[in-house]
Amino acid sequence: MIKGRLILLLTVSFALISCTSEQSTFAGLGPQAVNIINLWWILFAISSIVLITVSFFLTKASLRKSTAPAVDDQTLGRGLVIGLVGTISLLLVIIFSTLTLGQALSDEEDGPVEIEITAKMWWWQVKYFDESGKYLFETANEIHVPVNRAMKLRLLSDNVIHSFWVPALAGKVDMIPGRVNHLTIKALKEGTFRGQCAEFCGVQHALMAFHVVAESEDKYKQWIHAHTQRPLAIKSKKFKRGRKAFFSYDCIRCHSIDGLKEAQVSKFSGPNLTHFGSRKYFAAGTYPNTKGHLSGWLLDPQGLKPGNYMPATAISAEDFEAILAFLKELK
Amino acid sequence: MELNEKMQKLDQAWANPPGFIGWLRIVNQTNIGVRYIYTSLIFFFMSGVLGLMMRVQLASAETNVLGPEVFNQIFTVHGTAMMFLFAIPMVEGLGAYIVPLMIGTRDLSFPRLSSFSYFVFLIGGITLFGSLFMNVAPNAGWFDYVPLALKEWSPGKNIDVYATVITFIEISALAAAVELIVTILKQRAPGMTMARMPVFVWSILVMAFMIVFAMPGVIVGSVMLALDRIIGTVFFEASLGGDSLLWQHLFWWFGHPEVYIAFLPAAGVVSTIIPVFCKRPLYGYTAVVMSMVATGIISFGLWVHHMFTTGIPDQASAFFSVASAMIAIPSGIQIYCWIATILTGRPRFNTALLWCMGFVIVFVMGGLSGIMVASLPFDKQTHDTYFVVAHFHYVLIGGVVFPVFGGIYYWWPKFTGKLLNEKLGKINFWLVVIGFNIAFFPMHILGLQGMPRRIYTYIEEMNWGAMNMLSSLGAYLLGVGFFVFIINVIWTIKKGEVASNNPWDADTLEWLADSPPKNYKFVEIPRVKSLNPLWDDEMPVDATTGMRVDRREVLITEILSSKVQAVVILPTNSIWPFVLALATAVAFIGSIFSPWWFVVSIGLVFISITGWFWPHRPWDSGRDV
Repeated sequence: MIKGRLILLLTVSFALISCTSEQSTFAGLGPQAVNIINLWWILFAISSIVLITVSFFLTKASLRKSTAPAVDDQTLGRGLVIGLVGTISLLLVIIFSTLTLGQALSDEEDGPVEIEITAKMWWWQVKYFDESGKYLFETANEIHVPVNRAMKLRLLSDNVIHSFWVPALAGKVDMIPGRVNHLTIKALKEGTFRGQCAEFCGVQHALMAFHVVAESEDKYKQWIHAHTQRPLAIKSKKFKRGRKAFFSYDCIRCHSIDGLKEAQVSKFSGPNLTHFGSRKYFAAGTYPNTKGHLSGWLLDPQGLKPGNYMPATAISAEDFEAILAFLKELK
Repeated sequence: MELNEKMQKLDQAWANPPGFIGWLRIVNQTNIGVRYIYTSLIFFFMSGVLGLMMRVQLASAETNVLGPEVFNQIFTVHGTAMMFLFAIPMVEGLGAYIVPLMIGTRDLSFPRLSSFSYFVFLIGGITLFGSLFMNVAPNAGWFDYVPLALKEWSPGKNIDVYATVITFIEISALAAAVELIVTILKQRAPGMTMARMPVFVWSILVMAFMIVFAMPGVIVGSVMLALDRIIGTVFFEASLGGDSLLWQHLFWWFGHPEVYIAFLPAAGVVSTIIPVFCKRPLYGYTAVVMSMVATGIISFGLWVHHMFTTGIPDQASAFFSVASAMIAIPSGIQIYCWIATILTGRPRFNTALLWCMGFVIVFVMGGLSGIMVASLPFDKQTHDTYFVVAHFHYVLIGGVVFPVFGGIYYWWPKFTGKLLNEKLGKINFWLVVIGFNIAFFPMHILGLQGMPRRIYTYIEEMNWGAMNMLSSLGAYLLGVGFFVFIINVIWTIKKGEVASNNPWDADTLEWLADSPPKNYKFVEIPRVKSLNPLWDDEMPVDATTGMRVDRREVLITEILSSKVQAVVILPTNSIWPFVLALATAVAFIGSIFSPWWFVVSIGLVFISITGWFWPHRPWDSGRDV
């Protein structure tokens, strides 16, 4: 049957194509995501059976020769019963697998929350706590987790509804003002996985992304340790000038740097930049943290991400270089 | 009285006034019905163009053709218009036109109300598209989630336009629903018991009841939204004790049944067309009708499946997950009955039937992806991704647009007296089917690859470019396909074949009337003896002979048994429904700018209602007023 071959082709192309994107739900690097992939194949198999059956009978009905004897009503009645029983049993398989696999999802660890993520417009504020719940530090758009350890996330929003989604690891959970949601994630492999806001949240929804960096327990501890330090020891003349420029161009109004100055809290506040130099990406997971990209961003933030809250600022050439150097050194 | 003389008198009593002012005064159901159908078709094409614009922007990574501000307005207007200005009005329009003819009566129960509801709908539609040209169109999506839609985050007029437009559509839909319910229950021809009601009439009845139950949710929601925005109540403001999830519950209480409000009449069209072109009665009439009623009821227990990711406890979600899967059963029964009808009939593959067969396959695909996203864990991955975009376009284009076009090809000769061209019709159909699948099938894959919906762009590294390009090319082909329909209409107007009263040899009463029908539709009300009156009865016998011909009389029958009860005189043409629609518009469009317009409007509404109900009932004498 042409239809059957088509289905086969589709299956193959599905399998091939689904692996290519770095944000694919088929990456399967967290237990939730793996469960859902298994569920998908059950759903896909059942759907294929139904679609092939319906197409087969519809084709058969349309191609029937006008001389062929008509099917009598008794057979049709029997067919209806068979179809109904078939539909219901397939539905039961779906419901059963949904509930069992769903159960596995809600078996969440009751451990302490070590990471709190607050959705901003249009970036992610990330706060770390130690096991006793003591606040450690704040960062943005990059969440480090130790590999093979379940981490409970607290998900908040203080503006509109956003949705936290790392397809490689787990399904999404909304971040709703006035409510506290939780999600437990566990990375089964080391690596950097991209996530993205999945609930429409305004003009820059499309580029509101972040990365989850899963690394070995040792590296994770080092990272935590480094972030509890202040990176402000003066490293060069340029650094000093950059720091000054950071004040004189009023960057500090929206971007805090721990140990330097707290930014004014407002709905327009931007990410905390204390360890900006160590981040892999910036502008909410959108551009790699290289000098070239960063220059472009500082020159024309509205051109790159129209409508975001970072204004374009006219900066003199020397200061511009100095600010870049300063940010790079914040490690 | 001679037949000719009788017809002449009926013509006079049911005459439409001439001229532009006269056009505003017409209350006749077939006129209002085609207005609904043509207007919603125009909105369909306009929203379709918006869809094509989105496909330009998304065809490749990091393009900047539209920019986020415009893109967000465009996708919002596309969705809002397709749902509120195309899907609902189109099925209401089909109902308003076809139902009275199918049940053998002369007009809807409240002719002036139908005129009113049309004008309210028209003004709403013009407001929405007008706002797009003025760059203040709604931009928070068709389901318009708060708090994004509150004043703090959307200070412009955009969301006020949204609240206004959906209020117009709520009013117009409720008016139409009430009218259709009363007409179907009380004006069926003698002998047309509930068990002999055509499936299409059943589908419209279920739809109308669904509107009555579903609309209050969104009415309350949109009023609360307007109040929050205009006078600062805090229904949805979490920091002051409100709740943003409340909006989602209210909206989806309406929003989910809404899909079936559009789908059930479409399924009714399919159940009408398939038997006619297979030359046999529908297999499993009772099963199909029961399935429709069941779908209508179950659809009110599903709304939370739009909210699986909001952090609602999994136990509660599991209930809605299972309920959502259940709706496959009544849909499955209907699909079985359609295929069984084709299998045991002698199908003639006219364009109308092709649309229905395309519908079956595409709708099954949409239904299957629907069962997938109804599965709670799977939805956590695919919710708000392009997988869902693919799913609901399969359901809504496959499940609503295909049957509606089938219905248009089928009933066009009744509307206009001319048959649409079959050759162009087939080109139209095949281009649409092929274009549609190329445009929307890749979206399933994009969703699984992690592409969220409602994004105006995406970065190169995501590797979504190729699939998006394919999808865009498919969308243009789809656009060309629908353009062929416009060509077909123009061709038909110029050179179309003139249709007889019953060109398809169909079984229902609308084909007994002239093509296009006279304003009074039937000289005498026919008596119905079976489910397929024009096939089984030699020719339906006149049930009445004594009705007056010098005024607008319709026959009232008993709800279940359809025994004659009374004769009712309907009101004639009037300008007041239009004036009232304008007065209502002053309130709602005014409220975009200041709440005081509401006060002004109360006065105007009072004046127009007084005019509408002015108690001298001159139509008793059959005189036009």
